[in-house]
Amino acid sequence: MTTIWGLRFGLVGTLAMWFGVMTFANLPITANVAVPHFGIGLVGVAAVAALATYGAFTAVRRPRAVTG
Amino acid sequence: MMPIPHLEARSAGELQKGLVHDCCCLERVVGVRANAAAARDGAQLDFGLGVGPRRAAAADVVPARRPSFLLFLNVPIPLSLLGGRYVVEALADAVPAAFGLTLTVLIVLLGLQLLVRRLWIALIVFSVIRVIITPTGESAGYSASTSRVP
Repeated sequence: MTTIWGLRFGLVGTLAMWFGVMTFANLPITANVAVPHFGIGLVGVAAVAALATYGAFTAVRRPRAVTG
Repeated sequence: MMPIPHLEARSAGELQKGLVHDCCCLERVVGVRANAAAARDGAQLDFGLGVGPRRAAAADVVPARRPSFLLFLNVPIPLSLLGGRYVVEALADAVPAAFGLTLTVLIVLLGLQLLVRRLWIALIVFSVIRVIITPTGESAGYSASTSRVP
């Protein structure tokens, strides 16, 4: 899966994928809002969501004109 | 099923007590398995510990390491359940780990492609290598639903 992802989406995509995997593995993410570590898990979800949002906006942004 | 107190905690105090309890349980589990592995083949204990809470609990009592192919850019296992700066540490830990994984995977894959000259053969050999070096059985033994205190 990693290899296929790397071949299809390239080095930056693979790095982003591994960052997401390691973040989800490092933090106790849960859907149970009653447990005390719910907020800790939310930080990891927010970090990956922020990275995905930045990537999406960067991907659709109009490229800069090359001058000179 | 083995109880996991820190996953059922309703306050910070219960959470700390649960973590201590889990540390004691895991110390016994890991100790027995480490001895068994060393007796079998003389190899150093090497295993994966599933998701965050289990890894955080085990990191306090045993020198739990990531699989050996991650030794490059390896960092201590984060204790994200403790909150605060440990959460920041867990996020920062993901960056070098991602670099290490990506570089290792790409180097091995490119090396295999140089050796066998065909990408699809390299992919197959790479998959076999990944299956061999991944401690699947050990990881399954430490998952929350199957762990047993000996």
